[in-house]
Parts: sequence; structure tokens; C-alpha cells
Amino acid sequence: MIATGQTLKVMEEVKGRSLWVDARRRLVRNRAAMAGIVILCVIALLALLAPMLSPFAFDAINYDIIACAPNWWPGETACRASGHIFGTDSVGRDLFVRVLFGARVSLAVGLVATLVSLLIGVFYGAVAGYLGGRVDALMMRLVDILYSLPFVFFVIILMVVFDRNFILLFVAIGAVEWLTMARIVRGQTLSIKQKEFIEAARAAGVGPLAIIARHVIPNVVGPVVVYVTLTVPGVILTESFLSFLGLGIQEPLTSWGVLVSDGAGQMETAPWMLVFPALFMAVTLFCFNFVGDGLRDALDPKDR
Amino acid sequence: MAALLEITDLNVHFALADGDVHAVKDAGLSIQEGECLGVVGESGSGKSQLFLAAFGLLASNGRARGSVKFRGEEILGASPKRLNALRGGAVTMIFQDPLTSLTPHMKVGAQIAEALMLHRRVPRDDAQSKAREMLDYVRIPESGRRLKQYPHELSGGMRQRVMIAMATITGPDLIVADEPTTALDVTVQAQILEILRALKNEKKTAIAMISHDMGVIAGLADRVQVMRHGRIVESGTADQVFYAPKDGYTRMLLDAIPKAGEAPPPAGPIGAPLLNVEDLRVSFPVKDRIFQKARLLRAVDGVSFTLHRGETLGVVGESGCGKSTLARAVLQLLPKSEGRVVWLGRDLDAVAQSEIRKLRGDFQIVFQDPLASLDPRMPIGISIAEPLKALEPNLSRETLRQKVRAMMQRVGLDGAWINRYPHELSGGQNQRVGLARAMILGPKMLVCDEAVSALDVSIQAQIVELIRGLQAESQLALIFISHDLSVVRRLSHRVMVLYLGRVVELASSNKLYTDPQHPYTRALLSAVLSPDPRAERAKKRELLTGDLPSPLDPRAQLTFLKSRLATPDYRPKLQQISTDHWVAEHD
Amino acid sequence: MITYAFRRFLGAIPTLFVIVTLAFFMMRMAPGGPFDSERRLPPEVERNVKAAYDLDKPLTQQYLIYLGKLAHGDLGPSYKNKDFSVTQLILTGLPVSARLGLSAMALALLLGTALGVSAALRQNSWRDYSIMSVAMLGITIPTFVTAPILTLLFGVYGISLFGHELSLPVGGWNGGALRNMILPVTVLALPQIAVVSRLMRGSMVEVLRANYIRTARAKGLSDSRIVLGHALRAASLPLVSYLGPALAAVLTGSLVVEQIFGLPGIGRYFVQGALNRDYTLVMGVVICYAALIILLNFLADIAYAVLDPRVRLT
Repeated sequence: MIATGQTLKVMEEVKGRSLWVDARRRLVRNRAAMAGIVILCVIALLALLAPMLSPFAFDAINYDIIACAPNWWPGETACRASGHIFGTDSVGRDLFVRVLFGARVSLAVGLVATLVSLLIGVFYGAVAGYLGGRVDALMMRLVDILYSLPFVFFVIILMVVFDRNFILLFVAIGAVEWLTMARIVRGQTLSIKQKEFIEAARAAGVGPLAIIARHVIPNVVGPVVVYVTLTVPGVILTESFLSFLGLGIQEPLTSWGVLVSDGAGQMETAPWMLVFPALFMAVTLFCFNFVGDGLRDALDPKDR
Repeated sequence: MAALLEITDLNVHFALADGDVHAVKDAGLSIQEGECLGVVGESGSGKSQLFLAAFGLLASNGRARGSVKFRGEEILGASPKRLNALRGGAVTMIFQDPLTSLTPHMKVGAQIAEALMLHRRVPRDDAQSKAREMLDYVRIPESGRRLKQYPHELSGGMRQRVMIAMATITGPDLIVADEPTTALDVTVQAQILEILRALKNEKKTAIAMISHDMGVIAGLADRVQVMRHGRIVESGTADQVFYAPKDGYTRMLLDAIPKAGEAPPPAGPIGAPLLNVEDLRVSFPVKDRIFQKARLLRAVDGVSFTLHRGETLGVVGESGCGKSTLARAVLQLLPKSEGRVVWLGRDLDAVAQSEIRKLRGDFQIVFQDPLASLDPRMPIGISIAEPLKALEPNLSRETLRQKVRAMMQRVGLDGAWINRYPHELSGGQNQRVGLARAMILGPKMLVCDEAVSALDVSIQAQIVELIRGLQAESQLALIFISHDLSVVRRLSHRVMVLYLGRVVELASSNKLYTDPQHPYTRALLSAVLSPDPRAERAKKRELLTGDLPSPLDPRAQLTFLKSRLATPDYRPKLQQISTDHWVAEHD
Repeated sequence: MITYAFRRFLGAIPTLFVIVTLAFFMMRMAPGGPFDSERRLPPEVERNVKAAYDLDKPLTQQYLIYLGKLAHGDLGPSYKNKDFSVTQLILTGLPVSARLGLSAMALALLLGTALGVSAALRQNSWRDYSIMSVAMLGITIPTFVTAPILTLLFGVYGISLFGHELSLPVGGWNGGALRNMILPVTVLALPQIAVVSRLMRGSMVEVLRANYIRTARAKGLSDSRIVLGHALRAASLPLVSYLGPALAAVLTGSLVVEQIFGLPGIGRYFVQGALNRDYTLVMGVVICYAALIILLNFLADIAYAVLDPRVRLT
């Protein structure tokens, strides 16, 4: 009898509509963002399944069909390669599978480097914001100084110094973006710290660790997620920049950056070498931007 | 005589992401030349939107339909050129927040002169000297210097005067004043209203006075309209509406305003003092520039009082008087610089931090902004349970839930809402949540820091009643902080008036309201507006001149004791003039 | 205001210091030295050469020597181009890079502001959406893609515009002739045009919502007066803050552009120097770039204070 009574009470409690639910509803209504999410999932899936989607290995060189267009390519071309739906590159490798493997590497770089910048930035920003006062002023002064550095130059120097170490590439690219992340986290932490509900929690006797865990972090997560989504495209672009200069991903691995910069050089004679990887990269970057903008509008709606 | 402004069947819609909002419904009004129309309503009544729509100032997602005639000419939907010629010339507006309503990078003189140069084709130099005249008219001292200053260099009251100067310089027929004094301190509000009164009487300017404060309207308006949810529910002369209201809502609004001579607060002080505050001081170092020596901002400069069970101490004062800092220092939320806080006989300085955390169950606080004091990402049930969980972490979830629901019912909230979020509740409901959270540990003392100031008048009355009930039940000691003297009167046994961190008067509630001694208290009381037009018109006002001095100014303490200015460090002492009545020295 | 400017100036010095230190130690951490790729020198000669370049002293001492020379404006000799000192090399390349970079910045600021403001004034209209979409394109397509595309369009194939043949040279500096500058400057400016227009649009939209704009409208000011007299100044503030990072981005982009179009600027020296481990050259270029950015940041801070009187008190 008691059990039934309790269940009845639980059922009559109205389900609250949390801010996350509101945000999710707004996000779903944003068609560009939803399309972006879908497309990104498709591309990620293609990247994961890359080896199964093509009969060719990504590093299989074939000097008989160098720089050949796919069969369906319109207009005059020097040669055609059947069975290669994106054509072949300058040493006869299948472009389709290379684009997919490039997706793996570029997305991996994007995610890992962003993670690096997230970790550094969140830690730095949260400490500065929470401690406040002189420590904060000093830490942010350092950020201001570093902000005006042409960071990419140091990345280049690093890549030269340590001879294009793959791991270092991730870390170095991530290190380029941590500054803005630190600023955002610190800004959010500061503004949360001053909110009255933090003071109310202290007045209620809640300890500082519990305050950070239960009040500060959930309220900081939103803008951080938005910024993370918007950082990935920048990271992928930085990687492509380094690859163009010859300092990024090395053979036989490939990334979109490598493919695009190779293709750019072959633009006149073999435009398909540029078009397909550039298309994939541009579409991915667009999607990240749309999703990031959509998240930002969903979490912090201002009547646009 | 044709009306100056004639509005008929005005409807305003807003297209929001979450749906369409019908903000103003079939509204109609008229204003004659030289007349002051008061438009009263609570938040969401549409009173501001009505006038913004009438003069083409709606946001881009707003649509207005109906008829608005100014001097017989239809202006709703008129061309932007026609509206621009009208606005700033014949019709001007004053807004609520003077800091954000003035362009930050333009000098004050330039902003005032701009309208004159545009509408009356006055050359720049003439416009500047006219601007200076206007500054003199609104009683801004050193008008020549002020002309060249930027808005952020002026105080709130002065900025609002600048806005009035800007609105008057072209000699308009109608001034629309949208909550012009809401963001200002009470004594400053009195001064601004005086200027508006002069405008009406001397220059015969018609005024549309929009406010939620019936007292403001009572002192100024010839005719009144009451709005609710976008509709005009009552209209008539001021006397008609205030003394013989026809609509139920109007009656409710008038009843909700605390009046003099109402039911006294329950019971009174019992037993030994719970709290003893002795000569409390809280100072902050403040640096304007980086190479300057830090000056000391004495937020609380020597305050002493005692508090017993079942007793309410009202603390009143305007911005900068230190009342909030005082409360937080007493509650150990801020470090104090000097003085003692003795709780139940124990000097809190001698108590370790961990002990103090445990003691927090005894004294709690309710904040001013109900929405800001609740974590928006937590359901209200969790927020209410938080103090309980912090003090007794081993309680089961079921026990917690039961206690929370019981508390919710006690403060008048439906227990089924336990999983709702703050943004789903109204301001008044959220404040009840704040009370529930504060009361769940069964504290002996409660501090209400402007707990009802952000609420609509009708809700204020309910919350005040709730607090009275809670106090009667558990003989709660209460420190009620407010700038609103009439609300304080309903709850307090004794009242303490603060000015720049010091006590200028401390008396039983009766004595303070009937026989105030200190000039500052008298100015405060004089500035209290009652919803009684005849009384307001007849009232002799005791106005302070100028704005509140900066707490950093060392001579500010002697504002009411100018005879001692020769010794600028002198602090007026608190003297007892009868049992239960203390007054600081004054001229 | 003077104290404000002075404090900002003082703040620039530690920045330069940090940069010099970072660059120095990073280059020195590299395995291998500037002479590795050449023929092996006999040990005594190698020792003498190293001594001549101070490479045999402990690292911290090398650092102090370098700082000392730097204070005299001496950036040291280039290790690779042994006939030239770094200062000389930089002086030949700097005018080229400076013209390229500053032209790109100017183009980006002017065009980006115009587009951004125009989009903001017609918020959510077709004009707004199309400008913002094109801007997004500009941000996501890297310069080494736009360069060949534009080169093909305007350089190789040529385009007929209003009956005139428009054909631009595909490379070479040609003493800075206008025809040679058009393509590289445009390519370099494109991403920044996009960023600036997005920035200005967002900022302008924000400002137009402010209360003081409502007051200005209530005063009967026309739209153009409101935008020019009241809104634009406040909306430019985030742009002024972005000037430093903008220059950094343009300098970074110039590495690619100088390479693709074969322009004799210092970007080329940097890449070559990095690959050849020419320490002094790389350091010299980094210091030069950093000094430029710091100078621009300083000017931007002053501009910010001019635009926003509230800041002058800090």
C-alpha cells in the first residue's frame, strides 16, 4: 500500500523543462545545423569504413594510370581510368580511397588537436577565472601577449626542429588555438562566479569543491561546446596550411590538406585532383560552422 | 478642443521564435495639450510598447495596427521622414535607464544640442549655449563643465536630468516618459519628479507618464489609465481612479500598496539577544589608476545593533549606504575589517571556518533578484534541498524529497512542481523558492536583502505576508533591508537608517515614521510617494539638493553637519534622544 | 590619455622579450646545426667557424650575446647566405612584404566593413544571408586553393569584362607594379575580408539593439545619421581589437602567397631559413614580424581609447 502511495506521488510530479531541453528543441528547428550534423555523420562514417569501400589500397601506386580522370568526367582528358570513381593522382593511386583516408587523418587531427586546446584552455581559463585578482590579471596578461604572436610561426619552427613528428603535430596545432578557449572559459567562470546563486550556495553552507562541480561547470559547458565546434575547422585549415608548406602529414599518409595542395598544383592538367578533396574539406568545414552557429543560437538565443 | 494625441484601436504583435505575442490589445487613449496622462501597469502590461508603437519605435519584429493621430494627423504607418520630423521636435521621449540610453562616446553637450540643430535649424554655437541653459534649468551644477563631459562621468541622477534636458530643448508639445525614475534612488527620484512637475506647470508641456509605481502617478497625473495584459482596464481622472476605482484589478493594485497605520507586525522581541553587532567596519581598497595609492572605500563605517528572537529590524538607505555589505559581513559571507559579530554569545571571530559552515543553518539570506539567485540548470527541488544536503549529507533521497515538498507547501508552492526549473516560474514564485531554500534548515535569523524590490506590487504584498507568517510561526529574527520605506514599515519593529556606511537614525518603527529627527530621514520619508493624489499635490516636500556624494569623498560624512567641516575627519556621533531613539549629530 | 598610451607602450616591451626568448631557445633546441648539410669540414676549421659564430659557448651565454647585439640593431649574419647579414636580407624583402601585407589589410578592412555594415542594416534579408554565406566561403577555402583558381581565371585564361580583356600576370613582383599586385593582394585579403565582414555584421547588429540607438531614433535622427554618428563608432570597437590578430593572420598567409606568386618578400626567407636551420635568419624574421604586430597592437590600443572614452580611465 505504501509503495503504491509513493509511486502515485512520483507520477503526479510535473516534469520540468530544463534549459538543455529548450536548447535541443531550438537546435532541431535550425535546419542548417541539423543538415550539418547529418552530413558530418555521413562523412565520419565514410572515413571509418574507408578500406571497405574501395577495392584499391590507399598507397597502391600504379604507373600505368597516372593523373587519369574518372570515366564520367566531362570534356577532353589525357587519359581515363575505369573503376576509379574520383580518378587517380600523380602516381596512379585511387583518389577516392585517398580522399577517405585523408578524411580519417584530417578529422582525427581536428578532434585531437581541438581536444588538446580544450584541455589547456579550460584548465588555464578556469584557474584564472576562479582565482581572480592578481593571479587572473597576470595570467590574462600572458594570454594577451601570446595572442599577438604569429603562433603559426612557432608551430613551423617546432615542426622543423622536431622533424615533423606526428604526435607533435597534433599538440602543436592544438597549442595554436588554446588562447581563445582560455579567454572564453575565464570569461564564463568570472561571470558565473559573480552570480547570486553562487553566493546563495555559499550562504547555504556548500563547500567550494561542490560549488565548482555542481554550479560552475554545468554553466560553463555551453559556450565551451560551441567554441569547440567552431575550433575544429580552424585546426583542419592550419593542418592544411602546414601540409602545403611541406611540414604537415608525411607520405604515405595523407590528409585533405596534402591532397588539396597537391591538387592545386595540378589544377590545369588534372582538376579532379583538386576538386574532390577540396569539396570534401569545404563541405566538412561548412558543416562544422553551421553546427557551431546553431549550437550558439540554441544555447543563448537572442532574437536575431 | 482637439486632442493633442488620439490613439484608437491600437494592436501590437511581436513575432518571436517561440510564437506570436499580442502585446497591446485594442488600446485607445487621448492626451490634451498641457495635460499629464499617467499610464499604470505591472510588467508585461504593454504600457511601454503602446507608446513605442505609436511613434514608430517598435523593434523590427513588431507590427502595429490601428490609428494614432497627432494634432489630427494620422502618424501610424507614416513615412520615416515624417516620423523623424515629428520625433525629437514636437514629441520627445525619456527612457528608464539613463546610462545605456545615452550615447557613450558623445559629449553630453553635443547630444543635447543635436536635436535642436536638427529640428530647429539652430547653428552649432547657439545650440551649445541653449544646451547649457537647459542644463541650468534641470539644475545641474557647473553646467559649462558638464557640457564637455561624457555620460559615464556623470551620476545616475545627473544623467536622467541630461535626458530631460535633451527632451525639452526643442520645446516639445508632448514628452513621453517611460519609467523615468525606476532606476533611481528615492531621494533622486523626488528631485526628478519635481523637474517634471515644473515642466508641466511652467512650460505647459503635455506628459505621458508611464510607470508601475502608483505613487509616482498620483503625484503627477491629471488623468490615469490602468493597463493589464495589453488592455486598458480603467481610465478616468486621477481622483476617479484613485478614490473610486471601478475595475477589480485597479482595486487590487491600490490595496497592495502598503499604507500608513496598518496592522502592526506580530509580537515583538523575546528573550536574550541573538545577535550583537559592535562597531562593524568593512573597507575595500580602491584604485582609480594603476600608479595611485589605493584609497579606502568605507562601505560600512561603524555600525552597531542588537537583534532578538521574533524581532524585525528594518535597514533602509539608498545606493552606497552599505546595507547589503553590512548584511553579508554579518553573515560571514564577506570579511570584515574591524568590529565584532557576536552570535548567541559567541564571538564569530573565534570560531573556525568549518564550525561556521555548520552554524550557517542558523542564519540564512534571501536575495533581491529571484531568478539570479537560483541556478538556472537545477530543478527548484534540488535548489531547495541543497542547504539540507550540505548540512546533513547522509539523508536519504526520499527524506529529502519529503522535506522539500513540505517546505514548498509551506511557502505556497504546489509540491508537484518539484522538478520545474526557475525559468518556468514567475518572479514571485521564484522568490518563494528562495524563501523555501532559506527556511528549510529552520534558521533562527533571516536576512532579506531587498527581497521584494524586484517584484510587482501585487506580488510584493503576498510575499511580505508570507514572511510575516513565517516569522510568527517560528519567532524568526528578521533583518529586512530595503530602500522602500513603506514596505519596511509593515514588517519592522525597529528601523535603522544608513547613510554612507553609518547609522544616522535608529528608532522604533512608530517613532521613526511619526517623529523623524535626522534631515536625511526626513528627506527619505518626504520622498515616499503615496497613492493619494490630493495628499501628493498638497505635500510640502523636503528635498535634498544634488546627488548622493561618493563614499570615497572624505567630507561626505559631514553633509548634514556642515558646521564641522573645519575638521574633515570628524564623524558625527550617534546620540540617544529617548528610549529607543538614537540620532546622529546634525545641524 | 597620455598615461594610458605610456602604459600600453610599456606593456609592449615584455611581449617582444618573450618572443625573442621563445624563438631563440626553440631554434637552438633543434637537433643538428646550420652546417650539417654541407660538406664535412675538418675539425679545426669547424671549431674555428663555430667559435666565430659564438656557437661553442654555453646556450645561456649565446642568448645574452644575442640580446646584446639585438639592442644595437644587429641581427647577426645569415648562416646560409654568408655574404649577407640578416639585417640586409630583411631590408630587401621587407618593403615587398610590407606593401603586400598592408594593402591586403587595407582592402580587408574597407571591403569587410562595408559588407558587414550593409548586411547588418538589412538583417535577415537576402542581402544579409548572401553576404554571410560568401563570407563563410572566404573563411573555409584556404589561400593555396583560391590562389590557383584566381590565377587560372584571371591570369591564364583571362576574363572578358565589359568587353575588355582582363589578363593579369601570374607571378613575379616586377618592382611592385599594380598589375602584379592585384592577384596576390586579393588572394591574401580574401579570408580577412570574410572575417571582418562577419565581425562587423555581428557587432553592428548588437549595437543597433542598444538603448542609446533607441534614444537617437526617438530624437528623430535619420538612419544614416544614426549609423554614422552613433552606431559605427561603437561597432568598430571589436574590429579595432581584432587588428593585431588580423595582421598576424595576414603575415601567416603571406608565407603561402609569396611562395605561390614568387614574390621576393621575407616570408620566403622564413620558410627557407626554417628548413635550412638558418638560426639567425629565422629569428630575425620572427622578430621583425613580431615587432610589426606589436606596433600595430599599440596603435590599435590608442585607436580604441580614442573611439571609446570610457577606456581612458583604466
